[in-house]
Amino acid sequence: MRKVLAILICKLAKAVGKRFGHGSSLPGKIALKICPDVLSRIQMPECIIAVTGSNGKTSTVEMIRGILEKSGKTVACNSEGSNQIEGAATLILSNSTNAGVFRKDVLLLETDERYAKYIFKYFAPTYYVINNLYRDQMTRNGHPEYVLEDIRKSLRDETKLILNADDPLVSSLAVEKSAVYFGMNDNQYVTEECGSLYDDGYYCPVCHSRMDYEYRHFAHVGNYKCLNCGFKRNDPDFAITSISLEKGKLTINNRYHLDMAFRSVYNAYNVLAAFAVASLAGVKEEVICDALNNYLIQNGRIREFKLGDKKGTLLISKHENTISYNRNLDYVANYSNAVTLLLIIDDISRKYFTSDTSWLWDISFELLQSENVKKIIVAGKYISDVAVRLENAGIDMEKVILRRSIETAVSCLRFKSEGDLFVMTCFSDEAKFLKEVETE
Amino acid sequence: MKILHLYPNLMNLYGDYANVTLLCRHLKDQGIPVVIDRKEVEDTINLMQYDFIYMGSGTEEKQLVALKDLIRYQQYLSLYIESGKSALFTGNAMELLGASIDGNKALGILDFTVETQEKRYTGDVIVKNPDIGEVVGFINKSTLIHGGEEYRLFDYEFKETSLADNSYEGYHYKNLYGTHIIGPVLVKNPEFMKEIVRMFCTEVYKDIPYPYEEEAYRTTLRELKKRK
Repeated sequence: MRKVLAILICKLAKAVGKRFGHGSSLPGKIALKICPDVLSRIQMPECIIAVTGSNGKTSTVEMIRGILEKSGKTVACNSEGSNQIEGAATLILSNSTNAGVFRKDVLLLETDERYAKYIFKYFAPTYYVINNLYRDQMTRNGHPEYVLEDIRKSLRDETKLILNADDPLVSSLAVEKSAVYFGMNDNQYVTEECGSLYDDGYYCPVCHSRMDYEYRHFAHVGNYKCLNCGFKRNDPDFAITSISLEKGKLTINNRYHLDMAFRSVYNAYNVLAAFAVASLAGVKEEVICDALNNYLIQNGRIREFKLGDKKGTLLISKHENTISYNRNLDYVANYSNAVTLLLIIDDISRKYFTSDTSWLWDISFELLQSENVKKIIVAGKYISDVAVRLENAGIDMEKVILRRSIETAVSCLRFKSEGDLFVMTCFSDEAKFLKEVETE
Repeated sequence: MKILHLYPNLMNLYGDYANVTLLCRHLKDQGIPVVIDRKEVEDTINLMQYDFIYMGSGTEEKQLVALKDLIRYQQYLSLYIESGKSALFTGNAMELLGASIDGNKALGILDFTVETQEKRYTGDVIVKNPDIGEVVGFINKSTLIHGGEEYRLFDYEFKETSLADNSYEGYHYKNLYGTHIIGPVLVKNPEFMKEIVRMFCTEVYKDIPYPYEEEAYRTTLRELKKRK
């Protein structure tokens, strides 16, 4: 009875919320108040797919959804909603009959790394993809090892784990379990050095002795081996056997050729993860390739804008997330033309307050020494913190303009820039920038 | 002068390395030549040859790895500190200085004890003492500290309510400084930096302006005071 009531109220709250433009977590929250174990009482579909990790969850989930729908399956997915238990509850209940039978073929969930353990108390996913573990919002989340323990608590014996073989932290989840692995083999882009200001792969996640890398794709992601306990990269079941970022092509298991919507190794991992889980879920490889090749994925990370008669590109860079910044800095530093970059760090998070700027020291701002970066405009509350960081990254401060006001900084971008315009900021500060420019 | 940076890979969770980088720069600005040695687990360390020792934050597991390694040199470290030589331990490296962590023997330079909790305590803080003034920073830990009050470094002026802890923060014993504040605490607090740099000035401390660092400090202090 309580179950039915919870489902009905959830649907009602969702309908009302939709009219008033409210978020996706409140209906589920109310339903869980009415019937706390409602999620364990729903007749779930045969296939439940969950995706977690620090970066790339949403892109991966979007690709999986595209593949499954192409193969004729119906999918319920929270990729645009909340990824904690309340959001999952809203999604599941609003896609169930009033009697509690889930109506779609597949439940596809993006889950928050820290909170998945609360969701999977009530049901077990069939497939559980774990993409990567990076330093991300440590003031709120804690460090990657801490997050790893939360993920470990979300694992269920009946679930098939699909793990990134190249990320030692992620792989260490399956030291005493079986798993399916995906990874990228040796290629022309690998490096010997970590290339980052810190190395989360320096010590073994299992025994804490020194690790040795044959090669790295970036940061701690690569082909590693512990010199003491023997913990090492597993041979991937799904491997990117060749890749060309210039041509935007990759090949999986020497057989399946794919075009990449975005030409980066980070995106290649998301494509690979989506391929792996879809293949395991029974979609024919040809259908997967067809879906991925024709799939125009929305990139929430890049937006074009117009400023007077100039055009520019906004690269969303998550504050407190090194990989997110580094990939964008790398892009700007290797861009073929001259560049003026606007960096906005005003509110560190949109969800919580902190004034901590330690994370600036993890980001490779040294990349901005590149000859093509002509000017760097810095805006927002934390301009001085950024200035200290840039100065210590060996940036010529003659090319740096500091403006506390975002409006003034945008005006500098319009009238004092040289070359193509790039802007890097986070969701927390994105709107403050967008209201100063024209977007499509 | 010679600086020893202990475990720069193992214990470098929050950009802690920047303390050493900037300290080195400030010392050079005072005309003091500096050499930095970096030592990792299992390296041989001759503590007594150094003038300053630094260790930053690590994960809970890595903190114990650091302890297991450094406890080999416990006698020397004790001798080093007792002889008035200087050191700074920040974040959970500070916890190693006490008598024990969850009943396991720690370095024993000071007599406080550390108790691990299930809960994580995080939040922005303002702490202060008469010599350094107000210091801003962030604490991110899962422990409670008991005792050692006579060697307190700071009193809390502001902390987020989730930081259930003592009324004091950090330790100062002879020329040893320990604070739970994570990351580049010296970078963010010019007066704290000055306090450390002064110890090594054989001549008069030259008052060199660091406008970006000073303004960054004032910004955070202002932001945190809004929350008081």
